Amino acid sequence: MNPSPLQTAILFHIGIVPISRTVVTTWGLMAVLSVASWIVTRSFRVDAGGWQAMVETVVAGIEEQIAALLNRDAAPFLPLLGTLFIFLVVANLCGIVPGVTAPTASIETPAALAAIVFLSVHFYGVRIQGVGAYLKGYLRPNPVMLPFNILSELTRTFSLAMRLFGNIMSEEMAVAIIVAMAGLLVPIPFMAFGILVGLVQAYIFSVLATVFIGGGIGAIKK
Amino acid sequence: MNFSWWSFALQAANFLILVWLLRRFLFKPVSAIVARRKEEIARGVAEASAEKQKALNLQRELQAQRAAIEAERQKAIEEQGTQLAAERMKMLDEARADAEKIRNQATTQLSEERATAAQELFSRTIELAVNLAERLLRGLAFPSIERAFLTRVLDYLDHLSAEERAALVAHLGETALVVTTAHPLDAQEEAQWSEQLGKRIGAGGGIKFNSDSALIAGAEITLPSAVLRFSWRDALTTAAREINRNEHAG
Repeated sequence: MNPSPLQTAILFHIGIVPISRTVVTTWGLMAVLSVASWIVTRSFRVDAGGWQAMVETVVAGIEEQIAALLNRDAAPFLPLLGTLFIFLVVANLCGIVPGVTAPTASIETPAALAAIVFLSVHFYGVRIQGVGAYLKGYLRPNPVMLPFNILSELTRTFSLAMRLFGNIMSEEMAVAIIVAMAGLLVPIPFMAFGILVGLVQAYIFSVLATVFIGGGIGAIKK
Repeated sequence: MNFSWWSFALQAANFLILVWLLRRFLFKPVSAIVARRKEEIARGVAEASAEKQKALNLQRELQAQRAAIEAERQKAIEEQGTQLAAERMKMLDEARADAEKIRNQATTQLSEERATAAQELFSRTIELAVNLAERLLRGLAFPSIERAFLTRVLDYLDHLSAEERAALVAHLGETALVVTTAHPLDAQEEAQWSEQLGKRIGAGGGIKFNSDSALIAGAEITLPSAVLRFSWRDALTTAAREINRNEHAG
């Protein structure tokens, strides 16, 4: 049993690398998502059936949201941002399964995702605008704003991670406290509320990541 | 709360691997099937458009054919009408010609029949007139009237030229002279006729006397080369012939 809900539980080590419960849960989610995607997409036909129609609707909806936010073709950004949204939905909601802890309730997962978003902003910005044009963006509206722009990059990444971690961790902790105090059935409304929170947080994280990347590529004013 | 940099790194790697996995097993197949569907829809739209164009072309072609058939029909109707009108005119002309011919033939036949009837009527009238005259003359023809005719015969012979008289009496000696009168002559009258005729034309072969009531009155002298007629019968016959000749000449 964890001494603290904020403590990362180490299940085993591979060499010197400690493997935590969060990482193992993430591997499980990765396996589920990959196998489910493979099973569903291997039988894709032009005349879509029930599952295929649902999957296509979800993917097309994500692509339309990205295109609407970036005002451009969403295809180059779909793998990263689409995976981010799907992973966050699954990761946030897996906490309702008994015995499973949401990976996003551990600070390392939101921090890793936020770090990837941070790096993706620079990657796409340099790739699409070029190094010079991208770096000049930090001098606008005037060079005096350079330190503030850099600080803004760091703080928004930090806030992105902390927002997700705080919401999911606090929701799980609240459910755990209520279960410990009130029994089995009382936490159900809180768990339903947790579903809503998980979906909203996944959406907020994905939208903010899209907005940040849009700012990096010049599609959105910073 | 502590922060595990190993977990941080592993989660970052896990996410990047998941990005690759979903890109491979989810986003690419979905994009491919959507692109394929769009392509098939575009092909279907293109085929439908081509079919529509083909149908429009076919419709235009059918309309053109229909118009051509209609024009040909109108032309055939007009040609048929023209031909029928020509044939009708020809038949009318032929009918008129036939009617005119029949009318002319009927007119000609009628005229001929009328002329024939008129001729027959005229001949019948002449015949009736001659019969009437003959009946009247028979009432006047007494036997004594023969003497007057003897006078006329003698007067005729007296006025003949020498050549005419020679031609008249040629061959008279070989056959007998025949005198035919309407009434039988008695011996005295025969002697008188023989004497007078013998003086003028000879009559070496003799004279024979006959009677024929058809002469009504008068006599006929039969010579070898001619017959001299001095009778009312001859006068009536001559008059009827003259009247008929004048009628025909008129």
